[in-house]
Amino acid sequence: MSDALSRTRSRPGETRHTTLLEVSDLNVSYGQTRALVDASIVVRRGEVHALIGENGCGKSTLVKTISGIVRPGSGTLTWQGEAASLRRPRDAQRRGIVTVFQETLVADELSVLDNLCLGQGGTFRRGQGRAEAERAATKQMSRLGLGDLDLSQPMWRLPLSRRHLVAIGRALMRPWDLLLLDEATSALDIEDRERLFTVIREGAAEGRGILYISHRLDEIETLADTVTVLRSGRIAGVLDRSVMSRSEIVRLMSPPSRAVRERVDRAASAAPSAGTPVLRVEGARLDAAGRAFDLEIAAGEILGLAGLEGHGHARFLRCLAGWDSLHAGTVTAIDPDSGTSTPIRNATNANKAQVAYVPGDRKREGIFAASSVEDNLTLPALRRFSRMGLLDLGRMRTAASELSERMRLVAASPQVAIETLSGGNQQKVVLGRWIATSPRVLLLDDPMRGVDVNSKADIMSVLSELVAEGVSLVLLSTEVEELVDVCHRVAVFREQSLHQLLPREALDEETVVAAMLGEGAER
Amino acid sequence: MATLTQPTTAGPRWDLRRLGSQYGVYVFAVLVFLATCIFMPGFLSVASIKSLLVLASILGIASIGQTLAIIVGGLDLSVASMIGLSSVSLAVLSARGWSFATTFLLILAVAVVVGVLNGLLAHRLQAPALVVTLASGSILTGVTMMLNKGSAGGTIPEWITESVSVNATTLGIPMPLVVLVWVALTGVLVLLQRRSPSFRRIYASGMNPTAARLALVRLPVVWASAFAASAAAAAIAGIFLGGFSGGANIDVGQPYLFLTIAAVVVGGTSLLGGRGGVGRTLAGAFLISNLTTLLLGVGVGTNVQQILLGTLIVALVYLYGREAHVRTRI
Repeated sequence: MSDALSRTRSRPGETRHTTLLEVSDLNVSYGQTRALVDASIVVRRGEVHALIGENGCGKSTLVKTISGIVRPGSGTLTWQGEAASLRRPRDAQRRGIVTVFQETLVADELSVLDNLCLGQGGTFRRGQGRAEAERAATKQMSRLGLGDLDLSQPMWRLPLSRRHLVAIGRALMRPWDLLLLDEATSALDIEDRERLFTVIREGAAEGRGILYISHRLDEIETLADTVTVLRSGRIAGVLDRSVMSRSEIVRLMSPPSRAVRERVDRAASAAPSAGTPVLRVEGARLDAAGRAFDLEIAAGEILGLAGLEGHGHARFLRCLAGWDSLHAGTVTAIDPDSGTSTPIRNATNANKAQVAYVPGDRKREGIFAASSVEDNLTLPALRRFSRMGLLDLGRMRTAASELSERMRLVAASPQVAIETLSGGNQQKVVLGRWIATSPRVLLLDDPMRGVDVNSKADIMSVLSELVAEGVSLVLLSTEVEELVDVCHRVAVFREQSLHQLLPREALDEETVVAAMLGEGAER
Repeated sequence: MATLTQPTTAGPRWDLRRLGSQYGVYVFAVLVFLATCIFMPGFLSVASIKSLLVLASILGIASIGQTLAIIVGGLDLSVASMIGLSSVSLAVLSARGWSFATTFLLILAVAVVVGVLNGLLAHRLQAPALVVTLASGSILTGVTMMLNKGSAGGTIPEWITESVSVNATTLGIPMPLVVLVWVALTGVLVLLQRRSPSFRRIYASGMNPTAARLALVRLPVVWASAFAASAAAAAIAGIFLGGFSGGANIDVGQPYLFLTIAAVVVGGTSLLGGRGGVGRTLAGAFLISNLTTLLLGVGVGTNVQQILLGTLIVALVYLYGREAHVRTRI
């Protein structure tokens, strides 16, 4: 790297700080959710600094804050010894902070070259000719192993992994001192990954810094000089290369072990494994490469689903609901009373078989913001309240009040708009809507995400009442602690396959986290 | 457990902006009516109020359908062409000796088919309803022109002409039929808005289509019914309008494209879908017709009228848009 793109940001005579970036006591909140709590991190020149943590631990928020996308509530950012306020992405870029985000952010209709030069803004204004841009682009892309890539073709022609490489190339095209890579390798194959590692090592050797976010312990072991572990928005620990080990990282990622008494309580709850099956999955494969697996869910059982984002557990849940279909295999709902089994083909037929799906994204998929709590509660069950095509409003009102009470809803009345309620109470309404349809199997997509402690406790009691009545739950959660607390079994997904099925005896945070990261014996 | 207590976070009870968007149209309608009484000498007579009502009722009937198309999350730009087709068909077919009942049923059937197609296409193609209905409107206009070619003029049944005339009485009530139809249709739909499961689904689909789908609302059915209602309402309006114009006239529906949307928006139904209702649209249609009458009465030309109407809509959309929504908390 000797061309214009790599010129260092420091002027002659200026001292080069060994500390590139120092973030201290950063706090970021989204509404009531605290995404980062007093987070501090230091990235030095010549360092590959890894950042690891479970889903939702605040990694992405930290990346977005450093990139100038999210503004922190409090805390300071120091860039090369000077206080820096990054109010917009441009502020970060001007200082030489470039970011490759987890999502492949490319403009499909533009050419590869235009994508590579995107956001530089100076391609024409600065008088840099197209030929020159092309030379620079080819040079960067050849470092990533794509030197012979046709730069004039539209982006959409490329497969996902190539597109992601272009996104990385775009970052490298800019003059940079700090490169943030948010799960940059998840879309890459092994060879591309190796090339990227070389680019990273070269960058570090030239005295720049890299903040490397990954879920892969092997990558972190190979690359990182320092690793910072985040847990629930806080820094759980910083490990130097000399003391870095897989087990230590996993230990820091996992929440502290809970009191023994709770474990006993959980163990004392009725063992459901003897229950009759209500949902049966046979020969299931989520994609062509995944291994086939079978799974049976018993009446009154709580099956947990765990995995890193995008590893197939969320899709599997939607397949159970009939909202998505398996690559191969079948899902069958079984009525334990009559013994009849219904193959699940779509959501309507799943609903008839009393399998209900409670979606995860409350705001987008759950609530009707301006409608009343009552209307929100009754929507899927309207047929039950209509007589000769007209709704019996009195009966609806009674049912809504009863349901509100059962859900421990904190609301002035069922007539207020749902948007006036707190997130936790909105969640109770969305859950209640499906409980009203008397399901036999309830499929829950992270029902406790962004829910306050009290509502969480309320939802837990409602769910345990259901389980006591023999309803089965399939509970997807991003919080491992939650899964360990309530589930009878936990299915851990990795790379679109069922990686491990952990029985209750084997359930603890470290085992689940290790399985999510691909450690531990395969099933 | 004590459950139904105060919500943890409640907005102010008496938010002026909120009240404005809630009841604004009714207050405005009364104000404009009073202004008309004051500034237009001789307006305060049974005859002129009745003629205002007749004017408002044709717009009102067409706007009822537009309201539904907008609540479900779309917009029906084919109403003007549907009004034209319906009124020309009536004139042409009556001239050929068709009975009114047959003609009416045929027009209604065509309208429903067109509406269903509008709804299904708009939903299935994920194309904006705007484009789909613009296209279908163009097709309808073409068909209307073909129909009109053979028999220029046409005839309108006498009683239809009577139904929109100011001095008419209907079943002993001293009010033209069109006004009664307008009020009755609105009344029935206001009831259904509250009491019919289908309407709940229309609102849910407009407010949050993703959530509605996940709550097992069949979106294609809902869209098809909303647009069918829109086309049917336009067809009914077209029949009455035929009585007004007295013969086949393809351009008769033209002003109603803008006016129906105006009536819905001025009424306070959100163009974003999911919020509003036909009761407000009744007030909106009355307000707009009244305003036109007032402007005409004080000698404002059509050009200036257009400018003022456009300004009014932008102003009201701005006003309603300012409603302080209690944000959904994360």
